[in-house]
Amino acid sequence: MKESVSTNLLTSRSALLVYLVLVTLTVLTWLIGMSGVEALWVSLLVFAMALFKVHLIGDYFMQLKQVRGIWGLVIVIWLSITAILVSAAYIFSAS
Amino acid sequence: MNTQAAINGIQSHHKYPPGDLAIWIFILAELLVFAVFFAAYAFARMNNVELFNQYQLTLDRNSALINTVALLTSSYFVVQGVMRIREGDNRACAAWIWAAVGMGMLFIVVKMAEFSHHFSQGVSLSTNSFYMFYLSLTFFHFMHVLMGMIILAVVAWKARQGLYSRDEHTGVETGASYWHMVDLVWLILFPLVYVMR
Amino acid sequence: MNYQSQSVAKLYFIAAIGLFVGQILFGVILGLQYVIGDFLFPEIPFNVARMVHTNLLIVWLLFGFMGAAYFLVPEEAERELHSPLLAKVMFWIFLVAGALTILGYLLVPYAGLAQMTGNDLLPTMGREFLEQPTITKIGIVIVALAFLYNIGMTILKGRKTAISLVLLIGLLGLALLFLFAFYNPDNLVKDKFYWWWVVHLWVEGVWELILGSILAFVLIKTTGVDREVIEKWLYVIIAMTLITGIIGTGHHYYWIGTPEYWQWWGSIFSAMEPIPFFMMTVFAFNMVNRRRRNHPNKAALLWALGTAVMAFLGAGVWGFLHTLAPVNYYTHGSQITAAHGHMAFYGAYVMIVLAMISYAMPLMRGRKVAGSNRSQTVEMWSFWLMTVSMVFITLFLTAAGVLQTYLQRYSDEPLPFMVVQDKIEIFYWLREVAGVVFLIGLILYVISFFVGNSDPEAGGGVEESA
Repeated sequence: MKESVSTNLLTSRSALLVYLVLVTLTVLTWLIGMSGVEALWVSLLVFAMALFKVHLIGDYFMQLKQVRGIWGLVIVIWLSITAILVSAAYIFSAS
Repeated sequence: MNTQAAINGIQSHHKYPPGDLAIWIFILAELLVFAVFFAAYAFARMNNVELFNQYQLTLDRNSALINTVALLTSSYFVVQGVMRIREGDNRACAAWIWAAVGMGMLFIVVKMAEFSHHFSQGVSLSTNSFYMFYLSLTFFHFMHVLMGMIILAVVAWKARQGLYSRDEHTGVETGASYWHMVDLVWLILFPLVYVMR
Repeated sequence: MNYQSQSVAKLYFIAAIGLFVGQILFGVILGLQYVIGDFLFPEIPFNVARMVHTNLLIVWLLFGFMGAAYFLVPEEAERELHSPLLAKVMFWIFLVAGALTILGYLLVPYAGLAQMTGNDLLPTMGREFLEQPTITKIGIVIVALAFLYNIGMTILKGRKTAISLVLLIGLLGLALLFLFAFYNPDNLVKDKFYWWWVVHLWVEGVWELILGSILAFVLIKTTGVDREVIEKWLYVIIAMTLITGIIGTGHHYYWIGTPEYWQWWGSIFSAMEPIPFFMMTVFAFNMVNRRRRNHPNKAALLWALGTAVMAFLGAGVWGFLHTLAPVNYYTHGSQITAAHGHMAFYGAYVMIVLAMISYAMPLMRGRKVAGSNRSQTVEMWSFWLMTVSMVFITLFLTAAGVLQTYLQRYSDEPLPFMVVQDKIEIFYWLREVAGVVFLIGLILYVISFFVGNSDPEAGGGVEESA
């Protein structure tokens, strides 16, 4: 029997809201880039925003929030590994 | 289906993500490749911080912004498409998915303009490590956008033919999941290659 | 067996097994030459023994693949083979050409063989694994074209399944990529660059498609799991194989004079090559767990599961060990490569051909479902003997390779090649012992075809439902 994921957590409204947050964070990232501010913490902030955006995509657009167990965590796990590796490299190269 | 659907309606939690499980295995494998690529970029940068910072400035951040918004918007359209097919509306689903493909097209055009700008300057994979990574990462992602657009086009076409229904639309969810992955990877790629210094 | 013409596969399988025995005999000779350098010299020098060992491997696997295709395709297409006669004619041409080539290696000095066969007209000889005289290569192309025509027509006229299409793409790729064996540029970098298009893109590209489709076929037959499920896995596996395998060619381009970016491309993508093999392992065990029947041919299922595990270990894990550029900088061309080569070829390609033979042979010899219990028992013994001894061959060569890499290349005071070879001699001896056990396993495998033929079929000739 096919399990079809129910829609109750993803409504038109929440999808639009998530979309707007994603676009806002993107524009913010772009602004930071254009402002020319250069510091490790700025880069890490930008990266953190990207991680959060990916998390939103995973939870809402891919609807992993409604999936229990390991499959619901795949994006979070992937994010964590990527986050640790990339930020470690940036922190080391700044010191 | 009816009892199961009823149960699903009450229970909001499932064992597997939407779409065919096979595509998720594939998505995981793809994500792993990208994670390794991102880490490789970051660690290669460690030994060449100045070079990376210098050549990063030659990239066009405005194009990157347009492309990020294009992918986000297309993902949003795909979400709409999935919601429509869950109501059994094939026509609306097809329209949304085609709109998403259109946004993908915008991405392709902007990205090609970027590539041709760099190529006209004589930039190649052998120019330096930064360009090597920039071209490799973006081109590899570019191929995924093309692949995703093909998948979405097939889904949209099948929806237009009325081949999905309220009860059976795994194909739409499968295509949608793949497309979100393509978007998601770009969301890391954008700040990493264009902004972070 | 559902179609009469499937029986042409029998010829191919018999030839494959015969050449396999030859390959292993030369392997045992070769292993001894590592420690007793002048063993059988001047009759069979080391380089000739090595050439025969590797060439026979490739040729018998090709016989195996063709046999597998001739058996599998009519069954999938649900019709007789387009031309059984053409298949038989091509068999004899291929066998005679192959035998003459091997005899040429053994009886004529290589330079003389090149002269005799007119290598000057179109020089293609003298490159590792592609040592065959140009006329043999042309013969291979003709046989391959006729074979593809035969298989292709059968598929075109019959039912088209994912399995037969993937197999066809794999075989087509095999034939097309072989054409690069004729491209022999003077520039040594280019020469090596395209040489890998045959060698790498065969074993880490199109051959994996052949492996995947044969494995899927055997699993459908022995587990009774829905074709739809198995095909889906097949698609995911081959997509991943092609993405990682094609760009993964870069792991051969680190030190041959190609641009530096290959070190990144090669490292990243080839590091992912174990993924499709891992998927294959998961897939095979998953299907067996979901089986709908207990097929009486236990031996075939054992080979199928064996190939899923050993291919992952040999091709996946042992490949990964030395695939990253910074590691390969030290290990390149050491015994670690030999260790990987042995287990990968055995796990991925030898075992899948044997799985297919194991499944098909009893049917072609008039059994309804499977061979007798006695012959299966002998066959399973041979499975374990060969597989375990191959594990040991790999472990000993790995130990030799690690020591070699350290002493010769990594230590503060590196030692010369020959001094190091003396120091790792013990591992070569151990490998030789394991090689002899492998040969015993292989002999047992051959014997399994001759025992219990008058016994009743295992499972009484019917499939049990689980």
